[in-house]
Amino acid sequence: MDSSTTPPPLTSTASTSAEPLVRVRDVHRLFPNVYAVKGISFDIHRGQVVGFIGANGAGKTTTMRMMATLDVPTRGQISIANEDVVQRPAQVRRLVGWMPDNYGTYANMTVFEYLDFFARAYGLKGQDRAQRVQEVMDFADLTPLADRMMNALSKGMGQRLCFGRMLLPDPEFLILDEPAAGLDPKARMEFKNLVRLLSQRGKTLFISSHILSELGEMCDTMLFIDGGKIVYHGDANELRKGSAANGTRMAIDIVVADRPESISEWASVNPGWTVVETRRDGARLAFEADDPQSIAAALRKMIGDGLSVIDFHREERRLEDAFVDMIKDKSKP
Amino acid sequence: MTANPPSYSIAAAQFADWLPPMLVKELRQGLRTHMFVGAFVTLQVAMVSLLGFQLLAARDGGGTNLDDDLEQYLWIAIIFMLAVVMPLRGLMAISEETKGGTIDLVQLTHLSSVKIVLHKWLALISQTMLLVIAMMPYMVLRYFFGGDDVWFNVLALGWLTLISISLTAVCIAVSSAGTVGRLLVIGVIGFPGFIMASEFVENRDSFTSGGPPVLSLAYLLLAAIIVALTLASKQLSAPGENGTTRFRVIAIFLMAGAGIASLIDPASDSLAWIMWMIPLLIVAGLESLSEPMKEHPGIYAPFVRRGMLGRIAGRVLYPGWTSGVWFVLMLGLMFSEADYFWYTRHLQLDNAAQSAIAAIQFTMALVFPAAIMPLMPSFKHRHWLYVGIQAVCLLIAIGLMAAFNGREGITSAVLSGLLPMPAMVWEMSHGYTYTWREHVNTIVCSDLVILALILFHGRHERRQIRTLEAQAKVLLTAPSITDASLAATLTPAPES
Repeated sequence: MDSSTTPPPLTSTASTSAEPLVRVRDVHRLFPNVYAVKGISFDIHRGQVVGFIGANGAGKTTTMRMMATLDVPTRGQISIANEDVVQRPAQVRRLVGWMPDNYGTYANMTVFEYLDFFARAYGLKGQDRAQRVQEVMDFADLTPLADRMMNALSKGMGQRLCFGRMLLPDPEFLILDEPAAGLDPKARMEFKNLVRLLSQRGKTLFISSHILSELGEMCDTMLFIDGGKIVYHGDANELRKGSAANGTRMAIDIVVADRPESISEWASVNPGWTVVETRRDGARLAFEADDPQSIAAALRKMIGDGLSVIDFHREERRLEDAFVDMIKDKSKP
Repeated sequence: MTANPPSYSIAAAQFADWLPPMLVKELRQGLRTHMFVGAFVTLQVAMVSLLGFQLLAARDGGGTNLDDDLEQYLWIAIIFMLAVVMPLRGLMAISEETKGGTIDLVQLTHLSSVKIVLHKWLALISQTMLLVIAMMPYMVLRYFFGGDDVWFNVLALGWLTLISISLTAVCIAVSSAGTVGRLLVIGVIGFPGFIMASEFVENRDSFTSGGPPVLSLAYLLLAAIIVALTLASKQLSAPGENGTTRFRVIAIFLMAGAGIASLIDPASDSLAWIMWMIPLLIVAGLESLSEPMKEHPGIYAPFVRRGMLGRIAGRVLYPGWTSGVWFVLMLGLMFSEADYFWYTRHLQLDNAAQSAIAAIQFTMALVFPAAIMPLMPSFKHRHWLYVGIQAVCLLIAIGLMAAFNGREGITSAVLSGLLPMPAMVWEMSHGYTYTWREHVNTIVCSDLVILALILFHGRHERRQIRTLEAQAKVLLTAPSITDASLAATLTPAPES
């Protein structure tokens, strides 16, 4: 048995090194008629789970393809573990796992044969290959599907299979392009579990999605791209909280025991409050401050003014709202 | 999670370790397709039935030779399966990967584009061989029971197999084309292929009695396989991979090989070696002049490493249409020289010069679209643009021929000399026996104008090539780039 092809186990690869695993510097991508990516730069550190968010045509897939060595930047540099994706693509490919938005299927092929083919193509031989295929099938819960034809798989099963294929060479850095698109709630839950497991094992993940709330649960860092430019790179929780700092108002849901319109009347005479939405049992208000003291004082005043508040809920800012606000801010002259 | 024991076997899979992954995968898929199973069963049933008829005929004492009509039906079935059905399966080889989105996944593995294409082809021809080998016992039995000439039948089957595997390679090469392109190939390969193969089997006796130029025909089929697979692998090349140079070097070697063989071959029809290379010239023109430049310094580095000689070679071998023009001109010149030397060697000096001039004119006709195509930069489908320009040229040539039919004079000679294709057609219609001085002068002037136009249009690309060569030189001196500012100097700035 060739020891050089022995696969490492699906174990933690996390490192405490401060040096980023992925470096993207001033990357541009110009297609004949489209300027898809316009000078983006960011770092990704080992063990991070990064969400990559942008509208259709924002440059997400182009960026991801360049990182996966499937496309070449017109200008700039991308390096993964200090290997340049353009100059040393073969070395980069050993480190990268790529899961495209549509998982590729083959006709007349079973799930096991599909994984077996890719394991062979990655250079795994004999017992090592069989062991790795089995490990991956167990991890992605594909063992019961081993003999099933690929074209008989549901979308969720197919995504799990694609996920399993990506894990065959045990890559350090995983790029997932819209992995949850088209999945039913159960499959989404399974997918989130897989991501969580990989994250626990120290893998670095770069995930794009339209479903921001899901990304918020999975990712510890968010990257927003719009019009080929990075418009935000930071923590997801900060993005949710970061209202006052960004000039965005805090949303508070209030339920009262009687006369729901009393809330709106109260808000109209109290400075700093705006009615966002009136409801059957209360209203959703926006408040200009987000510090706990101001909010507590406002609640005291509400009760003091005779409102029968039975529920007062400070709503976290939704990532979708944050994203839309961000795009609006950037589009202002 | 517990489950029933899977049917796959780890131990049984060990043998496949000796085979390439793509071959294993393609065989697993291919042997399950309805098309293969259908073809296999049909041929087996046909052979068993024919053998049965022969046995019955032998028992009844009504002669041992099968009825000619029945024999004919057998061969039609074999030809249809081998020359049409099996090759056409290759039409899905690349499109299946690109449309299914699996090509990206395969490119990220250790498989190169050459291996992918080669093993896909091997898998398809293995299935063809399986069909052929399964027919062999019946061929031998028919010799014992029917008195058929087993040698001729096996020889015909061998040639059919060679034609089949060549056509399979061609089908793989065009499998990345769009639906229209593939339909066109089905039209070109399917029906005419069937007719040609039928003609061939009909006249198979002549292949053993020095009829057609067998060796050069075998060379043509081999060249078709090599060129087709090289072009197919070029379509699958990953970014930064240079499939163009590989194709061009192979084309040059094939042309040189044909030229040398034509001079060595003592047969009187050895000119066929050179003439078989005309399709290669056409493919080279279509492929090289439709190709955009690759703005990737890494591709230029191997040439730059070899100094001045490497850069000069690069002017012919770099990807892109500007170097493609020189490549086609060089290939055409080789073709013309081989043609000239063949006629000189066979002491046909009058024909030598005229044939060589016609070959040059043919080459200019191939190159001509490069003078027009840069005027339409936004036309996306460059191959179709090339074909379209050539079609218009052909129509002009036919129009001129029709207009001046029987009234040849200075006007017709000059007008037909303005464009290479009409000039070539005009000369062919006159049998190269005489040439008007005005016609030749017009040709020379128009060819010079065409070359000047091409040089003018290619000035931007040539400047880019020089920049890329300079960047490649930096790459060679600093192969490990970690500094972003250095990297920025290495890549061309995007145009807004």
